[in-house]
Amino acid sequence: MIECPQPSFGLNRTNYVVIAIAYILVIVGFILMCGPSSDKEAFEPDIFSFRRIVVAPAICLAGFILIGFGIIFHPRNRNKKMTNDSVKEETEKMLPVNPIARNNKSV
Amino acid sequence: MWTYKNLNRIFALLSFILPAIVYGLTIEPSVSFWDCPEFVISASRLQIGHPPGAPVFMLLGNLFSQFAGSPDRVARMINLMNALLSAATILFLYLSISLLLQKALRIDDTNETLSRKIVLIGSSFVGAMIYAVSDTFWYSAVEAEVYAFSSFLTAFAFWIILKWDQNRKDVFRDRWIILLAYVIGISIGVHLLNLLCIPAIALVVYFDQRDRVTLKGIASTLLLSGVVIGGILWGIIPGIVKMAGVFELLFVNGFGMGYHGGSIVYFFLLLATLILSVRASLLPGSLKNRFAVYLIGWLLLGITWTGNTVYSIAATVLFGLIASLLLRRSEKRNPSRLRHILYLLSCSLTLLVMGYSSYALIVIRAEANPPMNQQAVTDPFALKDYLGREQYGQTPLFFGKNYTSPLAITSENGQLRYASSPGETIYKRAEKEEKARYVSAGNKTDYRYQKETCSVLPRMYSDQHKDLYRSWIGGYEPKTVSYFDPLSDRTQKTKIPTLTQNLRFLCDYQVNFMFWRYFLWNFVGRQDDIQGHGDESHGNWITGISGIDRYLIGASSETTIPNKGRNVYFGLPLILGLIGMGWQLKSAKREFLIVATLFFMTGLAIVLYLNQTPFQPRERDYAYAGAFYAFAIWTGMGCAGIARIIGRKISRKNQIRASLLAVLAGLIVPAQMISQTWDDHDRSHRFIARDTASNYLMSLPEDGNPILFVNGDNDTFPVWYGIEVEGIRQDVKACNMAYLQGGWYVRQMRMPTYDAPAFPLSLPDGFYDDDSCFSVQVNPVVKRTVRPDGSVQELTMKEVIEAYYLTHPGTDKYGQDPFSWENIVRYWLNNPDPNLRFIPTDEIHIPVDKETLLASGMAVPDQTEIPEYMTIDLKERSHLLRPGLVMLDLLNGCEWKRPLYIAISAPTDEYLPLSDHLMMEGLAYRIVPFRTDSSTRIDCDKLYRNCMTSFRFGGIEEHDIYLDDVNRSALRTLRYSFVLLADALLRQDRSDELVAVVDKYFAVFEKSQPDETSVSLHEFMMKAREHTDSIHSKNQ
Repeated sequence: MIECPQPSFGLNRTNYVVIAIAYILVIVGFILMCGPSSDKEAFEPDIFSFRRIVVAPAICLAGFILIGFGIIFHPRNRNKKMTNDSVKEETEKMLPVNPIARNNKSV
Repeated sequence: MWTYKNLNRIFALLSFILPAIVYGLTIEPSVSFWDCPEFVISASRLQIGHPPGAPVFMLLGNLFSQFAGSPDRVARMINLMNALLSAATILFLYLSISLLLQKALRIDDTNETLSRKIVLIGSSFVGAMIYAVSDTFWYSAVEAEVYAFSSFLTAFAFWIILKWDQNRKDVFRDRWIILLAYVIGISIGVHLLNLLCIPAIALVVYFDQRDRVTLKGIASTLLLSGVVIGGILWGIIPGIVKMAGVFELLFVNGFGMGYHGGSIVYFFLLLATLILSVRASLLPGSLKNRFAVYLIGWLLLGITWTGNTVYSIAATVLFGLIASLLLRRSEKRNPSRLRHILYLLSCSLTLLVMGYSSYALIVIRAEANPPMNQQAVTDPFALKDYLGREQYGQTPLFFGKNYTSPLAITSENGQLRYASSPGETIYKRAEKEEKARYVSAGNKTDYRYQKETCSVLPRMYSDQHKDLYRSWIGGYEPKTVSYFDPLSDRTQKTKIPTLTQNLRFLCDYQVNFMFWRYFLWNFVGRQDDIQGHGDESHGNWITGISGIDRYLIGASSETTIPNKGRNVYFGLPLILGLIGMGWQLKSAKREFLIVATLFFMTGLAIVLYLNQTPFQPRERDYAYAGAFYAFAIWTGMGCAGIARIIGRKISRKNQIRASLLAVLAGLIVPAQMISQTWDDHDRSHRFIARDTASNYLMSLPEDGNPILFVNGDNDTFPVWYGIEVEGIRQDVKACNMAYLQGGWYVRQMRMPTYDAPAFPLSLPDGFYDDDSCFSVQVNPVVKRTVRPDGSVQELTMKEVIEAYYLTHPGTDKYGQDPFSWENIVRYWLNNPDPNLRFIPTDEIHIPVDKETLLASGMAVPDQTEIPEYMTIDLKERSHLLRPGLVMLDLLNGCEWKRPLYIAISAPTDEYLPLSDHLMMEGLAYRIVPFRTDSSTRIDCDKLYRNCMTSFRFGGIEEHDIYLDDVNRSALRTLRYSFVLLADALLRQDRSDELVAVVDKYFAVFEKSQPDETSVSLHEFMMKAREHTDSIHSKNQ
């Protein structure tokens, strides 16, 4: 797993995981869409098979929509509203002292 | 209970439900005209339509089509999808107006009063409803085009950035930006119009990030946003495809992988690099070490990749140096902010690429070779042309040719040729090889025009529209320029329009006629639904106030035939919008600038970019729906502005009452609008496009696997829809003659589809490919002698051959009949010497076997002899284009066994002179080998059967359905068929049948008024009725 500390901006690990799963769904959908094709010799009725024009595109679409939800999702902290200042406090308590001086301007 | 939050939710829901109901009730119950049938095919059957394609539309449309229940309801489900997407657009419009109003009304948690709540919710609702019932938006909401989906994505994107702006303190604020990037990526797979909201979005970000706003800052933000649009449109979108091509060549040709191997490797490499760049921005430590990842990402995105490897690497290195300098400077100043921006950039790019990857659908389905497979986009090279809409040609923008500009000619090594700069190498799949390999098929050529005849800001560039341009500028071009012409070896002069004339055309036609007219249609009123061409009689904007209208369109304000398309709003929506503009300008300048930018980009900027030619085939108002969206925001503001102005003038006690009054008064506007727009947007019970498909296909005989030639959008696409989606006559091949110009299309016609066999063509595949002869000379002059008296004698190939055959009786040097198509192919077109590949005659013979002909069911008129061969007369033509060649090859190959038809709405002389060889059997002419004229052209029996039993009339017999321009034209074709049939029956004295036909005509067309173009047809039928009535009374 790619390890990175949780900074005070951007997305969570859950977001990344959901997006990854969603995109894998998209790829699976595209793979399911492949198959034999028509050519000069004969028309290939399989190009309109149930798997290729019903199941596969539905899986692709589900993947694309799930990516959207994966981005939006964020954990709701019921007790405290998560603002930049509150998170700054919390994360500063958790991280070790960083020798490189960081500018305190909040993003 | 009546908190702002709840009230807001209720009205937001209403903003979705009410339009959803309205659009749901007025959708077309089956397919519509223009591009809609093509989109229905592409969505429900996953086939490939015209460039640049819309894969995301295909996926969502496919889902909706599964709920159709039966094939004839598929189009309806896709129309319903657009209705729901449009309703969602209105929802986001409501929410967006509300967010913008909060700034203008300066509402925050502290001063929320009931009256302010009423104004906020009510005005947003008013603005949303005005847009919901407006002309252009409603038109696109009820048919199967991409514009409804595109409007939804624009509305969604705009709302997202306003939401981001609202949530300043939220720690998860970034997710809105990332979602926005994803939505933009997805919108590439719907329509590129969505990129136009980027400048407005950039301004929102700028105003949020900077405490101090300066003019310079605004200008640089807008400039930067333009760079971003360019970076996506001309950078990333073609760049990724270009790089995929590079990898394809490397992995397929170099490493021996199968086709698509390189593209797949490339894509995963790109994705991995982008994900690593995201990670690089999150890891602690200096960015210097991770700069390589960003640079590789830039390289893989292909933004600075040109055809030339050296230039590309140089450009990338240069970019790398500049970028690293900038990054080093920013890192010193504010490292955490830099890290944040790099994170957002890489995350956004990753998600944009993920959204854009929907285009894999196009390549995967093109590979399957479905019956509709435009441009055969099976490799990245073809995909690049498909995305860039190369088949539609280039329009010059800043500097380029005028319509009188000739092609530049240069002399090279003593040879004269058209000046051209070599473009990219064209790569194609190698033919007839076991192993996958790409071969080079020459270079693209960019022809250059004579520089002296080109100008700055050319708005009149198309030589095909020469006369139309001239009529707009009042006659002629006053500026003369001279240049040296190597062909004639002297200085030539030509006239070009001046800059003033170009600007006048820009203002008069492109801006006023093709934008402001549409704008005023939506917010002031519209004269009728007949396409306007600049005169007073049709398609103008009006107000509904007779004095003003008399000034605008003169006498036409009284004499126009009453038309459901006439909608008048007395200028109320415009007034509201102007008040809103003024009020927002005064109370929230920044937000005004944001909405104004959106209005400009999705309106006038499109006008500037498109550089439209005059006499368009249809009205183009659907392209500007975004600008009308922006103006609708201002109408909502106008309602709020009025409420505030009144509110300030009255006492505190009456505030609530005043707000309610203002909002209710505002609601009158959309209520009045819908009373006008409902009748010309209600498409219920209308099946005319679907029945057009059925009528064309059922006009054809049941056996023989007939081939139907079609030409324009409005016959081709419905017929294809009939075959592909509803499964009508899958034993027929419907061939678009114009597409035959493309080698890819000829290839497709050589494949069997469903129950229809392939085209029996004799010329080999290679002959019809794009890089081989696009046109072939007809009967060239082979010898030119100057007689002693100075006159010139020209000898054509045909004369030479005829002379030879005369002097060598019994010879078959070029076959027994040297002018038969078979022999022309064998001895000339298939000749190994390319200089001999022409047609050596101006009269081509296609042999006819009498028995086969009669057995095929062709009706031969009495007095007409079946000839030994059909003569194709090419005397007027010096060249034959590819469609003509294919049609000739086909005529010969079908051997009169397989019937060939041309739709009656198609041009019958354009590619081959066939208008004397036609027999009308229904909505299609059968091609016959003997000559016919107006008295022998109608096959009465078959036409009678079609008119009386197999034609369907789209629902006009049962309901008073709304018919717009193109639907009326379709009905006119049907009326015309009846007229031709009645005329033929009259001539042949077949009175019983005539009576039946006349009765049927009036039974069908009773409810629908004949429009201007059909009046004479209707009058003919009335005279026919008088005639039959007099016969009837004579008999009694």
